[in-house]
Amino acid sequence: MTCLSLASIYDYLEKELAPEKVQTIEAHLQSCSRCRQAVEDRRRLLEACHSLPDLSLPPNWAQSVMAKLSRLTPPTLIWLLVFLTSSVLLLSSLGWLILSFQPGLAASRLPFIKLVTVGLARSLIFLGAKIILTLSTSLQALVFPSSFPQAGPGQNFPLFPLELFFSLLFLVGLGCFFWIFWRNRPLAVKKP
Amino acid sequence: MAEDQELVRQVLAGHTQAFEAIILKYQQPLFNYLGRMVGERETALDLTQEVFLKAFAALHTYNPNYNFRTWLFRIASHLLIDQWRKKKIPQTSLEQSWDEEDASCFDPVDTRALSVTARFEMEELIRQVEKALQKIPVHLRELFLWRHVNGLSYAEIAEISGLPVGTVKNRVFQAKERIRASLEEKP
Repeated sequence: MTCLSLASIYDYLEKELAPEKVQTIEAHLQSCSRCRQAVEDRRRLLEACHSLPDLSLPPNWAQSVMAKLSRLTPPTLIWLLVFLTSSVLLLSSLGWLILSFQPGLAASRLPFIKLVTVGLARSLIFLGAKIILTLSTSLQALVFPSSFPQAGPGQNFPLFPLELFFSLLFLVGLGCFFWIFWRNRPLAVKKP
Repeated sequence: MAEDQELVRQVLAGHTQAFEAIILKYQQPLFNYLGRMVGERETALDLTQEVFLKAFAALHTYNPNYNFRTWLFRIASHLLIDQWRKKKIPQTSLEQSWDEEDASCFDPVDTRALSVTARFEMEELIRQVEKALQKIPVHLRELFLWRHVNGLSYAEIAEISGLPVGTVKNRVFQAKERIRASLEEKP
């Protein structure tokens, strides 16, 4: 038999060979000192490779990773409830605000889907302005009641209370959606 | 392997704490691999943590018919490549060129110096191997680490890297012979 190739030496040392091949190699090693020396050399090299020490991790490292995970973990049932509630808040307030802005639509007897899409198309641009107007007027009435004749002392709060209610509902629903998105955002690769 | 699948099943069923057992089992192999790939402790710690966060976030996409360990190492390898591409970690080793035909695994023994490792006591030899490891190109180092530090089989490495088993074996061979060659250079 000719001398061993380096590949077969590694295969032999890593026990990657069939038993018959191992026997052939061992028979050759009995008679070839050069190959024996080469095998011994690679054996020591592999032993050193396998003995490379573990790199030391900080104590309680796994717990610190778990703490980070727990902040990313939504308890499923609670999140589902939050999601459903915020959806109801958002849709009902949005619907009311649209219809209040386009009062003719409600009486138009259009099919529901068409009512919503037409309402959205006509009202979306003004919706934000309406919410801001409602909230700012309400704030003005609360902070400076005297400068706001409709909201004087002893009077019922007359400032389109439904609009205020639905505007707040809309903002709460929107806030919940952003919160859900933020808690469930894709995990960004932290800059090392 | 069945133990891993069971832990994954528990995590997906809502028992998040089962993931701690996964971290405890794989933190050391992953850190040994990433630490020696990037050569910087803090960076390696951040990357190891990121691997677990990514694995946790993507656990529902894990196919239990496959090996969990190779899935985890694939995430680590992709993260490493991603970080190098974004130049978030130094990539000097990435630029090192290497030649596939540098050392042929079919060379007979008599073309090389016969005994190199005998010159060192085992403790010193381990130190020298550790140093030499940092000098070999990352393409070779990664496969070498998986094979000889993490103890993965050639088939598992082929699964992680997407390379044919023959190529993996050849590259691991190249890595070992390069490490050995660098020992020859020592006075």
